[in-house]
Amino acid sequence: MSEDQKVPVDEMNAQTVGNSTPETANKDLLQVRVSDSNTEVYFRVKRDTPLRRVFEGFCKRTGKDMKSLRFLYEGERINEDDTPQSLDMENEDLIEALNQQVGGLFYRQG
Amino acid sequence: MSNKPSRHVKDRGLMHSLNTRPAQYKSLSQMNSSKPRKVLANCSVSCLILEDGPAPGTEKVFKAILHLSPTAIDITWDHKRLLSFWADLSSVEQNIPHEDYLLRGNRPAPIRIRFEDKNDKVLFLNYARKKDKLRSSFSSLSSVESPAKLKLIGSKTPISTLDQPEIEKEDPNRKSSSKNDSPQTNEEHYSGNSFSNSPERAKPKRPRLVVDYAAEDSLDELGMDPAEEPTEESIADLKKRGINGASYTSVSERRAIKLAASDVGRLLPRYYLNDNLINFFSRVFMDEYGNQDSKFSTHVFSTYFYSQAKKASGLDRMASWLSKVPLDKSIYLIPIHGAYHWTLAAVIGFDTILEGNTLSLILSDSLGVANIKARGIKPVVKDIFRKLFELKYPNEVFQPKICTIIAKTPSQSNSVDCGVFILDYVTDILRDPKRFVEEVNKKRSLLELDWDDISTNSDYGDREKYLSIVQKYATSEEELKVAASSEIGSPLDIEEVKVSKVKRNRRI
Repeated sequence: MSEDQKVPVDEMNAQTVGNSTPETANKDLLQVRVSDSNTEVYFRVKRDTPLRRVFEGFCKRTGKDMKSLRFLYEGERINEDDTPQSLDMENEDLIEALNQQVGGLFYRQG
Repeated sequence: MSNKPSRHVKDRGLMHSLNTRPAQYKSLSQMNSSKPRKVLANCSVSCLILEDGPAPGTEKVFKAILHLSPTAIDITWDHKRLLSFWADLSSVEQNIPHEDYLLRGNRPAPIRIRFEDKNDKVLFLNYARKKDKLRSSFSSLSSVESPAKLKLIGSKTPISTLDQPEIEKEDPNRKSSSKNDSPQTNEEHYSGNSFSNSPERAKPKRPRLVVDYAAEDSLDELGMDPAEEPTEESIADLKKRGINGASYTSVSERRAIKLAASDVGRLLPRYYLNDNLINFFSRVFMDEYGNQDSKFSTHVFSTYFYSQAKKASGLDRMASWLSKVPLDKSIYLIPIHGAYHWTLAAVIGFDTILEGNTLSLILSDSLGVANIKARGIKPVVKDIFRKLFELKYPNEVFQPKICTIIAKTPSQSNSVDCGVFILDYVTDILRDPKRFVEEVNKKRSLLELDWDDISTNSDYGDREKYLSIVQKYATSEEELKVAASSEIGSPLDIEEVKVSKVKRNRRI
C-alpha cells in the first residue's frame, strides 16, 4: 500500500499510521482492518471490546446500515458480542464486510 | 386441429401459473372461448409490471405492445402492480410496436411477459430501458433443455403453433402481416431483436439468452418489496409467539449463528429469505443429518463462500476460509446467491477424485434457471475445488472432468420462495445422501430426483416448518437481557486509525 492512498482521518491520528507504533505494540490493544470492496478502515481496539463497536464505526464511516452488512473473519460470521480476544485475532487482521444476501425470485446475470 | 384436450391442460396450467386467481380465470376462460381459436391458445400468460405501479397510460402501452383489440385481452390489475391476461400470441409476434412509440408514451416500466406452456417450459419476453433505448429480449427458463436446444423447444411446444402453415390452417381468413415470411424458422420467435426492429423484420438471429429483468428495484405483486426488512407488526406477531430470535452453535464451528427477530420475520410468507436464515438452517440440518452415514458425509458451505470466490482473484484471498473446509466429505453443498435469487449447487466425487477423476456438479433451482446459470457457476466451483484439491493432495495435479447436471426440481409457484426451496433441497439431500449420490452416479444426465419431502401443494412454501425449528433454538428472555446489558460500553473503546480506498482487484 503506497503512502498516498492513505487518507488520514484526523491530524492526531495521522502520525500513528503504521504497525509499529507504541500503542499497537501494547498487547491490550490491536489494530484491525475492516474492508468492504471499496473502503478499508483501520481501528485500534482493546482486545476485550465487543466488535460491535468496530462495526458501528465502520458503518458511520461508510454511511451504511449495519443491518445490511455482514462482518466476517476468516470466512465466519462475527457476532456483535465477539471480541478480538474471543476470535484470537492478531494485529492487522482483516474483517470483511459483505452485503446482506436476500433472494426470492429475480436473477440478473453477471 | 386437435386442440381441445390441450386446452384443458392449458386451463389447469393457468390455474397453477403465477399470479392467477380463480376469479380472473373464470372471466378469462369465458372470454377466450368466445373468441375464434387462437394460435398458441395453450400458453398461459401472466405479466408483471415491475415498477411502483402502473403509470397512467401503462395499460395503453401494454395494449399497444400486444396490439390487440381491447376485447381480446382481459387485463386485471392486482394491487396495482400485476397484470394478467390472455392473449393471442401470434399477434404479439407480429405487432410489437416500434420502440420509438414505446419511448414516446408514458414511461413504460421494465416489463416482463411470462409465457408458460403445459410442459412448464417458460419463456420470458423482457423489455428494459437501457440508455434511453428500449430493449427487448427473450429469455428461456426451460429447466430441461440446454440453451443450444432452444430451437428444438420451439418446435415441440405450443409456441411452435406460431408457424405460418398452422395459422393458415386454423384461421385462413385472418389478415396477417406476417404471411409473407412464412419460411421463417422457429428460431426467430426467440430472437428478441427482431421485435424491437419491427415493422421491418430483422434477420433470424440466434436466441439471446440474456436474463435481464431490469428488476433491481422490483416490487412484489402484493404491494411490498419482499427484499425489505419485515415490518414492525410482523415482528411483533412473532414476539407474541415467543420468538425473539434464535441461536445455534454448530458442532463444527466455534461460534453461534444468531438470528435476530428481523431475520426470523423473513420466514413469514412473502418475504425473501436472507443469508442468515440459509446459514442457520444449513448448520442445523448439517448437524442433525449430515454425518449419520460416515460414507456419505456432507458439508454445507456458507452463503458467503461462493460470493467471495466469484470475485476477481477472490479465492487467492480466501486461504483462511479454505483451510476450514473439511476435505473428506463426499457431498459438498454450495448455496449460491445471485441478485435476489438462491440456487443450490451440490458437488460430489471429491472423496474419490483420485480414482474417479470426475466431479459432478448438480444444480437445483426452483425457477429452472439453472441451465442459464451453469455456465457462470461451473468455473467458480471448479476453482474452489482446485484449491481444495491442492490442500488435500499437494503433490497431485488437478485435472478432473466436471460433469454438470441440472436437477429437475419442484419449482416455486410464487415470486418469493426460492430460499425456502433451497432449504428444502438441502434437507432432502442431507436426509438421504446415499440415495442422492447413487442417483447422480446412475444417470449422469438430467436428474429426476425424488424430492418426496417437498410439498408443492400450498401457495407458499412450508415456511411454518422452519419457524418451528427456529422456535426450538429460540433465544430466551434472559439471554436477551444479557445481550441488552452488554450494549452499554464506552464509545472510547475503539479508535479509528485510518481509512484507505481499496483498489478493485487489489489483493488485500
